[in-house]
Amino acid sequence: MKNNNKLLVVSDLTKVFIIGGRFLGVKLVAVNRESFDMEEEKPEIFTIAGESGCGKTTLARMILGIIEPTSGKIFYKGKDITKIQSKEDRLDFMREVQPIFQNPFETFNPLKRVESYLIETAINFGAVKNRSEAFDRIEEVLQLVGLSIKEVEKRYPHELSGGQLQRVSIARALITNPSLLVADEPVSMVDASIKMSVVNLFKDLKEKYGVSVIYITHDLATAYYISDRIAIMYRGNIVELGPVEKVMLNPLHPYTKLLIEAVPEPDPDLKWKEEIKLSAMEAKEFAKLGCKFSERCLEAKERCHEITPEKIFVDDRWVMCHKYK
Amino acid sequence: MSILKVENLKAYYIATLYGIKRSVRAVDNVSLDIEENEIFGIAGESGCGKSTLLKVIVGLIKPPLSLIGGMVLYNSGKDYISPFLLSLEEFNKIRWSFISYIPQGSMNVLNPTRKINRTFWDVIKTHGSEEEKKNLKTITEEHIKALGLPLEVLNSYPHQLSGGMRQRVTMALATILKPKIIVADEPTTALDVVVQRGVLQLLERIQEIYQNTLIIVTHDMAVHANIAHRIAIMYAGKIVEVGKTRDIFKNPKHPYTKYLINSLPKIGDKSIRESAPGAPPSLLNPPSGCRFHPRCPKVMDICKLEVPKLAEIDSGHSVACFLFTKEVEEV
Amino acid sequence: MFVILKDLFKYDKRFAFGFSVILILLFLSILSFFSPYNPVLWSLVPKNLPPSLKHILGTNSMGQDIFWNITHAIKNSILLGSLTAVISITIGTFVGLVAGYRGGSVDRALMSINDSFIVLPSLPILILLSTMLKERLTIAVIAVILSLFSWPWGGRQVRAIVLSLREREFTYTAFFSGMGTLKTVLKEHLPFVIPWVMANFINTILWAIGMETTLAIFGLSSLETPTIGTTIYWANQYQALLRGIWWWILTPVIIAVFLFLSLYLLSVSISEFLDPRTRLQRMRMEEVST
Repeated sequence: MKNNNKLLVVSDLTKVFIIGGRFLGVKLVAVNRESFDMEEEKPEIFTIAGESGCGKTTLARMILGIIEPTSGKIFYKGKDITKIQSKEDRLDFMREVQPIFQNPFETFNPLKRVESYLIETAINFGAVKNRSEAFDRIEEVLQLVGLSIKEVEKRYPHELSGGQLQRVSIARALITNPSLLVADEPVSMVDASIKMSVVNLFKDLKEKYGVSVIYITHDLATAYYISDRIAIMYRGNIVELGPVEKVMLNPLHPYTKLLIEAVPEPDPDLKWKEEIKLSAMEAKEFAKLGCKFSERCLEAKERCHEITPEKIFVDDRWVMCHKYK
Repeated sequence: MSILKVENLKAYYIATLYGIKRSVRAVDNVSLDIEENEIFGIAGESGCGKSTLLKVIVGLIKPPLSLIGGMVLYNSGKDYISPFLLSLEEFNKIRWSFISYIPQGSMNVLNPTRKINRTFWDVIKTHGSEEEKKNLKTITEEHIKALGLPLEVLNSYPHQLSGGMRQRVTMALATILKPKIIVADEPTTALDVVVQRGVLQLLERIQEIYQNTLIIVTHDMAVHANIAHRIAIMYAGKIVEVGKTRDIFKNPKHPYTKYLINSLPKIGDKSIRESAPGAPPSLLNPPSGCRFHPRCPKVMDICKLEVPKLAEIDSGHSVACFLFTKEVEEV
Repeated sequence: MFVILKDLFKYDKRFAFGFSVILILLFLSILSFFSPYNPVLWSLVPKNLPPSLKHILGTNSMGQDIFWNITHAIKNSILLGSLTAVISITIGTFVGLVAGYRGGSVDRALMSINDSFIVLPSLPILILLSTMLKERLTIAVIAVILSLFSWPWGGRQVRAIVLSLREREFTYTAFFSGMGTLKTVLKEHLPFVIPWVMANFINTILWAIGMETTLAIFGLSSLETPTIGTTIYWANQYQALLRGIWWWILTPVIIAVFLFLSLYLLSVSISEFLDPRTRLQRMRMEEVST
């Protein structure tokens, strides 16, 4: 099958939420028939970026198996994970794929000591035989993230800083030796002065230990800094996907252009010059025919409002826009 | 000429719980001079006291926050007035017309059952002068036009507007009476980048049109780079550096500011960024001396004992660091 | 434990009041074991005596000493309340935890049972049941019947707490740490549910005593057993107030008021103290003081 040597294959994945009751509810297509894949041999940091509500978190949660897709398939190392039923298969999958969450203060129960999660993970996945071995393994992973067991032992989450907690969270995920981390906005709640040290950690994990990372973010500057490939999502669709240098330095999709244009540069010499125009009214783009971005797009033609564009391979990346056909 | 003076301000959160009394020293001896006709940025990480400083500046001191010492003075043109010394009635008179505060997440303040223009008129009726009350319709329309917003928003309900437009309408509302000072707390946090850009453009435009003072608090240095004329960097309840935006970004002096600026990632630049070691301290029990000393790579003996005073080292560029000044803060 | 009680006593006036009153009432109920009179027998002392040194709270028209009788009544009422609370809280908490965490069809099944009990009008059915069981009513039977009607409220609330906890990120962390359902519920969620359980425990005692009093006043309780309710029933039956035997009716009424008030204050102050938010705040403050 085509899934050989693929770490992850997402194929035709769709998630429809029904908001407000089973019968009178409104259908909301959070992810609309999306596909992408990641190589097993070549570890990479794959970024899924977009504004709030674009479906990036839903996509990540489906990959983690926390929410069930409405349709479509997800293959991890050739196995369809949407069909996992037994507890053993679930544990096997979690041994390979681990999450990092957004809010480090919420990742751990505030009423429990953080080390309890480390011990649980070490023991439940059979990585170790007993508690003393568990502590050896914990010390090992904590060192990987630049902490030591002394800093963590017997501590409650509120006794650690956001940066430390996020490191502990990464260390916990590493205990089982996973091949893939799914990190949902892992630095958006970490203090500015230590943010980059956490970001650098992901880079190290990829380069030194061959861990692939799916990095979900709205922060395009850090996305450029760490990722190899990037997918830009808009209203449930990946509108552009390719190597980060290509997509971000020379964006093709009008939405990607707008997004990158709007990122403020941290340099007073590179201030914005001209003003941009924004829509005033709440748009009902989820229910729209054709390209969902067409209402906001300055280059929109008639067909953009009527026909959903196909994905086209141009200049090393996939673009979902009529312009390049 | 300075329009707002903050002198040796101290404001702590004081809490008592089952017999344990604790104070969070959120604003600890802060002095600032904010000029007329400028955009003044206050930067710092979460929990550094920047939002508290803002609240005290606009006179919003409610328990558990309490004023320990110092003064805030507004220059009304004729004389200096302090929000701490005004009665509630007197203070309500100058709110909206002299100083306007845009709190965090303020896009939810719009009444969902009233059309936007009603909300504008309500504000003019309660806070405006007689002259303004007579012309409330024209004032509202002219204001909206001047800010470059479409007039049809006035005739809509809040839920019909996009999130970004709602945020911009609240900015317009806060400035309808042309206040001398506008104070905005994290006006773009939780907004998408495209919307953020629209809101920042609007704030800049308001300041250009009315030539007033805009004080903007955000943790996002890129926002400051784009909009602020001068920036104050806050760390653990104290101001460690103040200067022109260019000086702060191109020639940061304080080791903390250096880390903050140098660790910012940029699109198109993959060179390694390093963070400051350690983590910001708890304001319940801040370190002695300079509060940055446990994380500072250039720490000296004096840093652990004495608190450096914010002192001018270049024209308009002040730093509180013993590498540049020998002045010690008196407690 | 002792330190916590001391702190609460010192810094929370509501707790201090409630706790002292409950201690006094418990002391009174312990006294019942040393009672010189059998509470079930009549005509042991002269009738209708006003309070005096020999009979501190006087005697009633049935020839019983009111003071010693009320010690039995307090004991039985508290026993009934606690028994009801234990039964209904155990069922309610268990059902709520399972329904909330498992969700789906388990949740739907458990909640439909739960809701059927909620929609039943409790007072008419209680009256019916007690009329039917009149001869066989004992404290334990009444407790079981009352539990039947009080557990579903607890079940609903625990479920709501767990539902919100289930969406918190730390639940996912527990899941990806390989923790099973039972472990997650017991180790991650129970600490958040316990404060509520404590408060609800006291509230259920309160409700049960109140309910039994209501039933007793209608003459639908185990009338030979002295409880606060049956004491009021007998006093009413003999028209104590009209006949000027005020010490007979006033004693159980005052005791009932103090019991309800102190239980209420205790529940409020304990739930506030155990609230995870206050608990975290306290942990933070203690960390600095050490």
